[in-house]
Amino acid sequence: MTTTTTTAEAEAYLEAVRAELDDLSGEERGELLEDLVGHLAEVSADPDDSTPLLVRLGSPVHYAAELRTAAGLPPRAGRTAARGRLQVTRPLREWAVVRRASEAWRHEWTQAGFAFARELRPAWWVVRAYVAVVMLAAIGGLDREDLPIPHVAGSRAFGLALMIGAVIVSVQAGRRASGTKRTVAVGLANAILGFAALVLFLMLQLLATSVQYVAVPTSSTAYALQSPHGPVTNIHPYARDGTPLHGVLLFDQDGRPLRTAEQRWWADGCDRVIDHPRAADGVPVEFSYPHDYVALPSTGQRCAVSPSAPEVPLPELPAPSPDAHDETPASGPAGEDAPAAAGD
Amino acid sequence: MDASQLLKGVLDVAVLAVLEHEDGYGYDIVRRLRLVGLDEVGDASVYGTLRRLYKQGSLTSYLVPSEEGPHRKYYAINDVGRSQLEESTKTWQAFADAIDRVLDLNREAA
Repeated sequence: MTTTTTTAEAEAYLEAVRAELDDLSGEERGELLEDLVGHLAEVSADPDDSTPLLVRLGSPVHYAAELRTAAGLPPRAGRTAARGRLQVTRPLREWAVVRRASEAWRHEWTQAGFAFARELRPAWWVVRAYVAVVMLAAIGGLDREDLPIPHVAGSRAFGLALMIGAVIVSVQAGRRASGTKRTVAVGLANAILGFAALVLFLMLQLLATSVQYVAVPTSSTAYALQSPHGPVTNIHPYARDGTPLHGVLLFDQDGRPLRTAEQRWWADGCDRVIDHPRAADGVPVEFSYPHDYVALPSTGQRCAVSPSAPEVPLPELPAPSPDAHDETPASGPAGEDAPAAAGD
Repeated sequence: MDASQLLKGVLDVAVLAVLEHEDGYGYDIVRRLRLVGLDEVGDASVYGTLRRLYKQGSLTSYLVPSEEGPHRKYYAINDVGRSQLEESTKTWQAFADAIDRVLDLNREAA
């Protein structure tokens, strides 16, 4: 009797076919394999047939596929035409939720969406290079000057050179990676940069909408006025009848001049300083309100518009009584003579 | 024309016909089909077809104890299978005749 197969070979074949059928129910699989066991035994015992097992039966993968088709079973999940590769272990797969998610994943719309996203990859390559350089620049601190090309190591030119280099590297890496399996490292780098890009985007939104105040007290101030909302950088006085006042000198309860902080950052990106009125002796009077913020000569076009006074909710106040206290201007050491409030 | 492609369509008929003649087990049925001249038929296809026909209800099966090895699973055709065979034979015959006619037309014209 010619033996065309050893038991070990038959065992191996059986195992391989079993693996190909592992997505079927235990009962189904058992039945099909049972047939194969019998068949392998018959084949090995056949005196007329000396063909090697693999030649006679074909590869285990092929055998299993042919078996399934003839038996009216669907082809092995994962070998279907769909690009979706969501393979889940058997017990989990039974769970309806997982099954539906898996179907959704393989749905042509999801796959079409992925195909579209794939077309946008070159754009992502450029964006990630930008983000990477910005992250590098962020080590040295970021401010408004860093848009759109960040300063790296103090130099914008260097930042630009680095940016160009990064874009080239990123695009080349992206092109080389197309079609091949991405390494975990690349995937991780992408994820980090993606997250950084999102953070950067949000930060830019905030930057655009907020007005930054930086309280930088001048050397002559011991304190700066604060409100619950942050430093006070200007005071807009109005007369009772709603007329805006200028050149108003303010003092606190102890006779000290009221000073505010100086606003440094403006929403329009302009650089401004306070133009303090000068007293007769030439000394700037820093407690005259409202402050006149004027653009620095170097800023040019940006600062065409000077900051306007804010809209204020002026209350309707009754006209003052003909007693004219309020009309008396305080001048010099008038404090001593300030009349006590007349009884009414 | 690839014979194996043709065979896939009629394997059910072939298997039923073989069993109509005499009960058989997997390996035996493969052998009989090959003897008739159907070398292209794959072992897996036969076993799969047997399972499917059985599930459809066209065949019955029984085990026969064997001394040399595992018990052999024999298949037998039943009435459902017989009527399916009859139907399919008619369809096949009509189809084969039509193809023959088309081929004849060509031959006559040539």
